[in-house]
Amino acid sequence: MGSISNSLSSVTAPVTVAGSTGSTFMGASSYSTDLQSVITRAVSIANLPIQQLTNQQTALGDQSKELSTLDGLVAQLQTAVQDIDQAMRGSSFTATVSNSSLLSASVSDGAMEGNYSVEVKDIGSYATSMSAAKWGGISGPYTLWINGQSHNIATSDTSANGVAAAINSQYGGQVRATVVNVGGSTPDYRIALQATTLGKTILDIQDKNGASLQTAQTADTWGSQASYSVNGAAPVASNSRSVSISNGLTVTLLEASVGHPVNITVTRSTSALGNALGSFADAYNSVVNELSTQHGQSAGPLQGNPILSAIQSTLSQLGTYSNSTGAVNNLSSLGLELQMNGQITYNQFNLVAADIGNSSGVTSFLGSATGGGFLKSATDALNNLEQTGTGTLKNAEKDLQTQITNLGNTISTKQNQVANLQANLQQQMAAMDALIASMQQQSSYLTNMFQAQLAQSYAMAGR
Amino acid sequence: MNEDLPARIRHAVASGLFAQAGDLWNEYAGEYADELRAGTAPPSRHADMHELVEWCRVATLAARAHAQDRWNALAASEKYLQPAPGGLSRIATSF
Repeated sequence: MGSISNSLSSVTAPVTVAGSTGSTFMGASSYSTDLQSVITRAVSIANLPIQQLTNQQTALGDQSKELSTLDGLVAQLQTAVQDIDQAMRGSSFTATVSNSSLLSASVSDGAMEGNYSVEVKDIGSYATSMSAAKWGGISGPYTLWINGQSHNIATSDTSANGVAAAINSQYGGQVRATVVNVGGSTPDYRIALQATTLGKTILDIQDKNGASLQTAQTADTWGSQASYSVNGAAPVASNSRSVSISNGLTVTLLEASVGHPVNITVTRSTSALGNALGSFADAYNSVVNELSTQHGQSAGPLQGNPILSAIQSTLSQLGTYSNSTGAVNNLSSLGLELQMNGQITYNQFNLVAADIGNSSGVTSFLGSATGGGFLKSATDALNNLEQTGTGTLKNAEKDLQTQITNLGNTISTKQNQVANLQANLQQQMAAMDALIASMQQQSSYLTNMFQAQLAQSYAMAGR
Repeated sequence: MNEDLPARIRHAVASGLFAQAGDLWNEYAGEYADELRAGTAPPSRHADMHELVEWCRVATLAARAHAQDRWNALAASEKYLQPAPGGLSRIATSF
């Protein structure tokens, strides 16, 4: 069977003829009506594939629209899973401190539920140093010394303010300088240095001759490290009063409490997780509902499309996830019940009960997006659908768009071919008709002339 | 009369160059009319003209019939037109 392209391209050479306009054949012979019907039929036949392709394009457009809807819903489900993961992180944890005047505590990602006992043995001190005399009268350049290391103070302003500003600008990470008036009504400006970290730090400012301009430090001004112990363990020294005593748990030492440990209790809020699981159930059910519209009678445009199976498979993986170990081993334990119709119902009381009875089991079952458990399984499964470039759903959308574009190009090409065919056909038919009409007309005229002349010849012969 | 005109007209019709055939026919008819007016037309001219007209009419109708046959074949091929290239992707999952 010949292809459409071959058939269409067989008429290529246009024939110039007068007597036709647009798509209506205007021939003058007795054959013109018949020729017009041939043209009309031929054009309508040639348009058949275009209509067929246009219908196909419309169908693909409907599929693309539905796929986009599903994509949006699956993306919402993905967000819901991420929100569960977030609810298991720092934002849903709370640290309670038994004596907030001795220390404060904050939680962040990575925090774990638990009890901690912290004894603040020493909150430490920052090294300080003060000018020995009223600042001024000594020309620079000056040198800042920190634990035996010299640092040039680059400034053209040799006033106390100028030098302090230069120190802060150039070495502010190690030491802070301020100007203090110790003279009362008679100004006596001096530069006060303070280390930025706890612990022993020797500070000094020297003039260009190496003479110290600061008061010699003593044990009271050298500074000292903070010291604390966690859960009765050996004391730990720190250069900061803000210390991390566990993953995601940071305490700030406020006051020494030797012999009086402070208790810190880290708990996870059930409500944050509860809300996240509720949103997960809603998002899950939205996808289930949309999928159901693509099956059975009056099914949507994606009926029979393999992407439906892929999404259904992912939903099943999420809804039936189980962990063979532990008391909390499936979604039902958290109040998420998979129903016969494929939807999930959520009962927050089950979660509360599970969380109170076995909080660590809930944490272990859910895991994290990267660490394992339900969250990793769900995250990976949804990424297999949604990941740009590799996700099945994303690729299906992309393929569909490519098909629609290609189909549009094909339709455009065929429309041009039909238009050319129509023009060529009209020209050729008009030329045929014009030739026959011309011959009919002129042969009649010539026959009349011939007969008239013949009659004249006979008349002359008879005379 | 240009005596090779009838042959050229037949050749044009046989080649599908109907517009060209029409021009040649006009030239032929004009020259024949001049001959009639001048009384110089050979006795066989009129019969030759009729024979030429009839041959051209039949040949042109035959050409039109061939064109119609070509379109009938086209119609058949359209009915069995395959779907657009690049069908839906086969999607494999390994969950």
